Amino acid sequence: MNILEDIEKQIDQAKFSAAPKNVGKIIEIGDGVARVSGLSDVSASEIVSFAHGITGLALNLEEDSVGVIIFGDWSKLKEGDECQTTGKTLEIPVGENLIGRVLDALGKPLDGKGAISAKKYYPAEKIAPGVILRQSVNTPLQTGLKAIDSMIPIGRGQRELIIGDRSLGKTAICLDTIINQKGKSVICIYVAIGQKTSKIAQVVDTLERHKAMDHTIVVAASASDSATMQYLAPYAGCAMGEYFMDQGKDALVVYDDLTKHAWAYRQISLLLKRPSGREAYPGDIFYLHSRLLERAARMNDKNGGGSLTALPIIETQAGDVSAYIPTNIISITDGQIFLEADSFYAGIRPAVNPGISVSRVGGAAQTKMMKQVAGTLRLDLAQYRELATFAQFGSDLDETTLKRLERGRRIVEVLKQPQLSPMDIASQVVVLWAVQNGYFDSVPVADVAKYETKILNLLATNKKLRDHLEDKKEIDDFAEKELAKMLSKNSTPSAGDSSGKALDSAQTKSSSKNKSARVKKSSTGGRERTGRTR
Amino acid sequence: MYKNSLKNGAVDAKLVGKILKKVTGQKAYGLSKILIVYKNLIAQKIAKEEILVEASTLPQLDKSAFLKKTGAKRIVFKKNSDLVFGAKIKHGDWVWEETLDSRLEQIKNRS
Repeated sequence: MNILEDIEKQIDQAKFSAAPKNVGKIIEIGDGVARVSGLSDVSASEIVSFAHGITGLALNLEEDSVGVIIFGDWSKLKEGDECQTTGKTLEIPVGENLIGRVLDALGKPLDGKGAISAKKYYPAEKIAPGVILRQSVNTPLQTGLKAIDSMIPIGRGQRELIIGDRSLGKTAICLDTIINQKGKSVICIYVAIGQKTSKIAQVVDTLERHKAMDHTIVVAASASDSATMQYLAPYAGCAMGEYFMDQGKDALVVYDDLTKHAWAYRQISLLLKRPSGREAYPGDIFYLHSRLLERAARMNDKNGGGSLTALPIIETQAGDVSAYIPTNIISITDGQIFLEADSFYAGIRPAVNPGISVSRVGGAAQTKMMKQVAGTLRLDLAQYRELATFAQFGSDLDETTLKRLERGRRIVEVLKQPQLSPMDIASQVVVLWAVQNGYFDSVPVADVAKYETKILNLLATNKKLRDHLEDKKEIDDFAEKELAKMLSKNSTPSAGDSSGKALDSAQTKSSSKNKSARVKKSSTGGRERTGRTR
Repeated sequence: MYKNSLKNGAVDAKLVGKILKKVTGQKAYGLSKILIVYKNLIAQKIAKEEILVEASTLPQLDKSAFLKKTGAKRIVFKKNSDLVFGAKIKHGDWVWEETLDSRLEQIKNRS
């Protein structure tokens, strides 16, 4: 009886309001899109609630009806069902408790690890920070990949597009980047859009095996999810990243991939009977991606100093980078990393084409020591590619050209890197310094990888040099002396060391063949005193 | 079509009939879609002209003042014993509900 009295008392004391509700009725429903009559007070992108706990987003406000895209199972709805406005726009749960979780585009967990109690919600759609709130990108985001960190450096707050045909390693580059952020206070968000569920599961498993889920959130809208969820997923991921940016932290968001995002938006727009343009995409397809990518920024110190770096991925067909969506994204982003099929199948992985890849932030996002070793790398590779094409014709080549070819071959070998093996910046710099200063010149191309491993092992034991490089972040006189000392020592092979023997024998052979062609080793890549053979 | 169906701001059945006869006689391209949109506009307008009051017991109301305030043309009363207490008033696509169900809904949403 006391309980009943308590309940009655609660009801009596409770304040109720007869606030008016704006209602509508479904007149047409199908394929995840409902056409609703009424709802005269609905706003654009307002949440509309239906029966059975289903919600939707009002996108088309027409004279006689409202087009609503449905979240969830629309098959439970039918013509004549009532709906009402909620007065809210779409909000996504954000916070530290999302780290390590796999979520859907609405922030609901998919990994079976329990419900998420979000303390804060961020709007899925938000105006990007203005010019005054930002500062220039000047802090590197290390991917751990030599080919990228040396020639196409990415900064925190930058948007760098990764573009290439299917199965060329676009996702692999992103996964390596995420894994490399361990211990670097960068929160990573991987947004899977329209991917196979098996592939998403594989990505999550890879991240878990490399302990990367400790700083990663996965937002999944797989191919089996509705176009609505695939459309929302990148915005949800961006909102989660913005939370960390607003806390003054650094975040990285990977959109894999925006091609499928464009397809999903095209599907929704066609179902909403919006006028279609080129390739049946709606007229605002550019705005779809520009407003997403503009939210990646480096905030100034007054506004927290945090950053949100975006790595959008675009899949091309037959290497066509001049197609509609790729050109749109290229014009929005601050650079692109092109992956080539020819290089991939020739064994050059990551299959980055340094000639047409670019980072518009450039050296501003590189440490001094990396700038010192990578300064001429692009040019060396470009010259090598040109000469390699020429050399195919089999004509006799002069000594300088031969040396350039040999150096180029070794640079290409050194830039290869196995998947899921990101390298720290000091190791990258040491290896690149070695190749630029000719320490690889007498190593057979097939043994370059082994020699590289040897150098890395030597560096691992040379704490003094490593600490100096990590501290100073430049190759000063001391570092150069130490490097020369370390690598010169290695030129004497130890017992059972086949790579050292190969190096030693290669050096002996080359010195006996080309007595007049001595290469002077210097930090700037070598001034060569050579004599022509003819 | 819709604007020509109104007389003094209200839907006129005779005008609607005339318009329908004329339009169907012309057999325009996309006629069915035109008629669907026309029907929805007329239905929305008619809904705004009528106030539906649903209650378990019919309330006493100053009808003229109510109609003047809302801009509607008529009030329709509907008895619904499921509502227990209170009333549900529908005018166009706006609903004011002060019933047991709505109070329970508010308590549920608060928790």
